[in-house]
Amino acid sequence: MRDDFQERFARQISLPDIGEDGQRRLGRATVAVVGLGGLGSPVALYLAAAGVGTLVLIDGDRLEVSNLQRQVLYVADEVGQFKAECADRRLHALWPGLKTRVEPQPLAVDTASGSLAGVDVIVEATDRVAAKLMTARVAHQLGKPCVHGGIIGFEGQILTVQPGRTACYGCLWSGLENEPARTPRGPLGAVPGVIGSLQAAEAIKVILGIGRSLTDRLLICNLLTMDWRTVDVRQNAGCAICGTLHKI
Amino acid sequence: MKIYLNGEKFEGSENLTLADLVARQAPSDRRVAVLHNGQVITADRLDSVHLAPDDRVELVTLAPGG
Repeated sequence: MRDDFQERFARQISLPDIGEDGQRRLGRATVAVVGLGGLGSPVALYLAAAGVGTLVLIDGDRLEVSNLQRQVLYVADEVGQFKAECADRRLHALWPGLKTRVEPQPLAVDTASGSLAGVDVIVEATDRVAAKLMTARVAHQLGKPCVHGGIIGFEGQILTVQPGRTACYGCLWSGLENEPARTPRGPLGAVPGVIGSLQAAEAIKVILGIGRSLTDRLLICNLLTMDWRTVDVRQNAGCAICGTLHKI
Repeated sequence: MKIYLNGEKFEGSENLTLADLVARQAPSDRRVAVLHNGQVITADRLDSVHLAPDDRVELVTLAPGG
């Protein structure tokens, strides 16, 4: 097993910022992936491939044929099956040492704390604003770091949150819990591929405490123009999730 | 008066408010968050923010998909 560990993760262990200690720390880490669609696919694949020890796989949807254009965790034969269960099979095939907890139901207000309580990092990869805000709220309540991703058309965004210390998703978008879901246009399949891969990198950096995270700055990438930029975001006192004006 | 809108130089009139800028520059078909020098400004306060030279304004489009 040791030989397998050394061989499998040799490239990461060779990175001074990771090394053998960092690789073992990844192996002890638990990450929740909330949403296993376009974003969640590369998130889960790269976290499993990187040797993250335990993944909590949360998604209540069954695979549809129209998902296959961007949700690269799945194959056509799996249409109709729960994504969380398909993801579990695929990720174990990739990294047999992986431990998983499979939750084939959407994150819900009354169960979210239980689903996310034991994790080190939450990766929010849902496809609705209400779910993004609920994940942000639970992450804040539990004091868990959270890496948010979002996409529209050719554009993607990422914000990493250290609860209570940096701007949260609600600082930008609280109040939109009841935003009506519109039939999405797009995305180009590669957009969630890029953004989800970056979310995986952010989660690994948070676990290891290395590099500079996308905290207090929102990364905005447009794959049509290839304009990438970060926008400074400060904590919003009026935020319904973390704002000081809402504290009792 | 020169300000920075979405990271690029933008020539705005004197006494320009955030509400004026948003009305002219924000996409009408998408939700947008308005940041003034990094601070989120809610819709009810856009009228009260008068822009100054070199201010940075970001109109961030909601990206709800996953």
